[in-house]
Amino acid sequence: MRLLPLLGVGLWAVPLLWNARARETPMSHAVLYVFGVWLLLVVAAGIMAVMIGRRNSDTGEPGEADGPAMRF
Amino acid sequence: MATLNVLVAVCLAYVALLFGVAFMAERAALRGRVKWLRSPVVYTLSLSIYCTAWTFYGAVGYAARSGLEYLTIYIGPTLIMVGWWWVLRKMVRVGRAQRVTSIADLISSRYGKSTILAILVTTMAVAGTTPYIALQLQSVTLSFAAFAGTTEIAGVGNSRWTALWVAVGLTLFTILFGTRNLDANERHHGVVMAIALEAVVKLFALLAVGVFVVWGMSGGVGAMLEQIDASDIGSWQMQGGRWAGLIFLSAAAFLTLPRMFQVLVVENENEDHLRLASWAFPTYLMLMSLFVVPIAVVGLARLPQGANPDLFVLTVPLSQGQTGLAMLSFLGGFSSATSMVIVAAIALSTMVSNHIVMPIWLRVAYGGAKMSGDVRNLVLFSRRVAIAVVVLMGYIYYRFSGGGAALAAIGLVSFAGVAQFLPAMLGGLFWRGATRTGAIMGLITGFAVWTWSMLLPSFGTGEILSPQVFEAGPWGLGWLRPHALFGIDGLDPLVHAILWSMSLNTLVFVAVSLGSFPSPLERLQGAQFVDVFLHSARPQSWSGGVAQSEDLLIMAQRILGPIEAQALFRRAASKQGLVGYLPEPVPDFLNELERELSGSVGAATAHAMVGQIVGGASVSVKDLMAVADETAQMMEYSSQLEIKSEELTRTARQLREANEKLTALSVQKDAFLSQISHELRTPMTSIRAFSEILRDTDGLRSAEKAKYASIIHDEAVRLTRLLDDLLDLSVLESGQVNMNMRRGTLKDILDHAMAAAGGGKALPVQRNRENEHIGLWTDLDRLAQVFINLIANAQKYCDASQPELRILVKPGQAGGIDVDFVDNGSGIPHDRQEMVFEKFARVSDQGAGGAGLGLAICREIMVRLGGRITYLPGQGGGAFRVSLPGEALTTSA
Amino acid sequence: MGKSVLLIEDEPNIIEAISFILLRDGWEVNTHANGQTALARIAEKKPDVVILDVMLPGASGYDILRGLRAEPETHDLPVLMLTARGQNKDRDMAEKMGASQFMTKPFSNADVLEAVRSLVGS
Repeated sequence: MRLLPLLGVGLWAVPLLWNARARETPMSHAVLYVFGVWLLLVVAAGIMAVMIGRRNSDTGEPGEADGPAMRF
Repeated sequence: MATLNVLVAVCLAYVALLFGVAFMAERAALRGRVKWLRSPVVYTLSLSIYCTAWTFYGAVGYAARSGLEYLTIYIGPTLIMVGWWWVLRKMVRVGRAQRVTSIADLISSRYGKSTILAILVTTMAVAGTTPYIALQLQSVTLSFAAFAGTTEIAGVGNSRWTALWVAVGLTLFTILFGTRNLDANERHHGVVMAIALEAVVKLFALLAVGVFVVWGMSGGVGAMLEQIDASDIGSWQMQGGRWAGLIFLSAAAFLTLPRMFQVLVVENENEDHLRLASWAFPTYLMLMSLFVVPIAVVGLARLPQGANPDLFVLTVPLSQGQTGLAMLSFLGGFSSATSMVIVAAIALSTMVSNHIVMPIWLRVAYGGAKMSGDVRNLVLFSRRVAIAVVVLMGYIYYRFSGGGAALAAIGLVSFAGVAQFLPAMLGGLFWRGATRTGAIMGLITGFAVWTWSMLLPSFGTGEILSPQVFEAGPWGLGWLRPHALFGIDGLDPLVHAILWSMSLNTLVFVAVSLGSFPSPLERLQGAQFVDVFLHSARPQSWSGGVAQSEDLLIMAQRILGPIEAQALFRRAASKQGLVGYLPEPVPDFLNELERELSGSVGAATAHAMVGQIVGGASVSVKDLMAVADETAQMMEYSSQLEIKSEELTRTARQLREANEKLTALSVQKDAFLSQISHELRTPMTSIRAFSEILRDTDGLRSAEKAKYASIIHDEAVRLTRLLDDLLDLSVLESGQVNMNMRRGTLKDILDHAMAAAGGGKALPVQRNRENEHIGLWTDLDRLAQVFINLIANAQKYCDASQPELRILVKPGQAGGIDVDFVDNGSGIPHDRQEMVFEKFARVSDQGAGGAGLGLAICREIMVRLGGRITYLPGQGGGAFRVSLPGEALTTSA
Repeated sequence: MGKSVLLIEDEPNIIEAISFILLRDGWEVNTHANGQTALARIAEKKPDVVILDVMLPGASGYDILRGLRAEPETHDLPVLMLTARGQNKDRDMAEKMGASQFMTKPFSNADVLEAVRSLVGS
């Protein structure tokens, strides 16, 4: 899950390949694709945030990161 | 014109609301209700200062010109936020562990608390941010003019005044809420709350305009998409280089922009807030960009040719007669511009005051760290001036740039400028081999390339650089052409500039780092930064002697304020098992102190100040050994050894001191009998001699007889008083004494004590009677006896040419109060401070009449009353603190 | 004119008492209250007898005595030491330093007079 940014980079690089296509890509498709990737990333990041929060409380480590005691 | 007046009114009301919100937040924070002020939601919203007027107005213009390219500016930060685990988490952790106050502080602190680096980064940040502030002023002015209905924007005389008024208003707001106090953590509750509100307003405004455009004007999503495909920007045309380059650039700028660093790291209350922000902030960015293309398409289709696309957000609703919506949109743009300027001004002013003003002041007043006076005022004042200057510079830039260039162009130039910090920052966080020299050289290289290939050309061909330079390079050196460095032609100018500046910057940084040797302090800081998750303790780098504690206290009082400083020192002392305010200056304590100070004045300055007092040798051989031992195990082991040997040294010193004190006490005990003998025999001598004279001498005149009789009488009284004191003390010491507890007020007791000590005639006394209305339940006569003694002591021993005594009442520990008696004399030397409360201990050799029992009695009385009396060092004179316990206070005064 | 005495003592009442007794006995009496400048004062006044208190501001009476005995001119000058500490070791100390006579406060007036007379007579 921590590889999300790489996934984002990969997916958002796809449109660059469209230039090579013979037919022009309509703007509406591009908009839908880019925002679709965006939504996917946000949801994935949200799930990851919740999971990390749960794991921290499960192991008894406080979510507050005040001291050096906290290790990930 | 009526609309314009309404707009001005709405605008002023909105500003008043912002002031109100900021004020309430400050009040709430003062009352300790920080929790809801500092929720993760507020943190996330405060990040939205990334979306400035450039986003609000400029994105639509950008889309109208270049299609989807504008999205790169928001995709970059999204990737950073989604990947917070890698970079942001470490930045925030390091920022909190090292009490970093700005990005300049972070970089300078990492590279051995280097002042040069701090100044370099500060200067670059100011240079990179000024155009951006100008941009915000311009956008407010343009949008205002759009409302006024004038199409001739640049020529409107009014616009200058609009910009000026906005600049003045922003300066006031920022000074008011950004420099209210010298917060140890540089957190500004009021400002953060206000920008969180503005974040909501701007998002709501942009969404409202978007909804209106899609559903109100174009007939729904399907129809909108068709209209998009049919428009001028209807197909996907993207240069791969620009797409990737801009995403990289915006990601870099997101981390390095001074204002983003301020909200991301400095204002961060809790590392955990990043979790919510990691998905909520990308959502915010997505929503902000969602309707940009529809607005651009509709604007291009419906508005006349030549309308400024940068203002479509405003002019599209206006053209449909939707004044209310346009007004909301104006407020959104206004919010975007103001929040950016406010936070940028705070961030830059902190950097300027901490990294430019303070080092200069330290240099000018060398050794001045010990001088009396309050540095906090200097820091606050320099920050206020810096804020005004920063905003003013933005205004001047706006005036002279003519406000003509497309908004996005200035924004990108600024982004690329601050992005030059990235290699030094990331290298510092992740690579222990990075050195100061490398960072300096890298920064200078990157900045030079940026200036040459991006900043100077941005003014336009023929403005600063002549067309020949673009064609053939300076002095005919073809490989130095600004848009084709090293002969590589045909690249997009922007991609070209980013590519060369960042790669040369990184290359020089890495190469010089590898080739240079880091100083010991750099190595220590490097280990602290890179391995921040392994050990958050600070390097042990100071060693000092005991006499310096008092100087450190004097310095700390001036920066942290007396109450906080004294609390810090007392806490440290009691942690070491000592009483009083002067802890041993062990490395742990010095590092803690330095960290506290750096929260106020920055790491480099704090380091320099502590260094001035403790002495130059900041890194010992031990520290070098610690660094050399790379493995965590070895680190652990050696640090344990270090702690043990230090503990031994300290224990030995404490033992030695205890022994010295015992010896001194036994000498005193021995001297006690001899002292009593002396004190009793002296008055007896006079009594015996004169009574014999009276008895044996004939023919004495009656005046003589009366005189000699009165001498005998006085000496007898003196003798009695001495015996009384001795008895008093022995009764108090044995504990066989009943305290006569009564109710009274502190003010009455002090009044009584002053009258008994001869009023304020012999010695002027400053009091603040307002503070003295404190009800007490204690032995009033005994307490008065203590006060009389202290006042009388000051009368006797204060050696100032114009002696003066101040009596200060302050809240003390555990709900009690402290009453400080501070005179302006030379005080008591450090080596005598422990002895003054012993019997017959007189500090000066001049017998000023007392037998030296007064303070010993005071001490015994205060112990019986449940409080204590201590000598308070570092007050610029003799100073005694009488501490009364919480139990001695009653509510009814 | 009688012989002269220099009284080095810091308690004003004691100075007054001793001066009164000696003046009535026909002595010329000078007084001095500071330990640091006492030696200079002795050199200036050249008294026949010095009465010296042990506890003085600025310097101890023992220091002054040592200074007197070190100088050939004042090596044999009669000195009567007065002390308010009644311990034997003070007496020993005074004798070791070369005090001509030693008295503990409080003293009887007659004893002082007698001591001073005997010091000049010897």
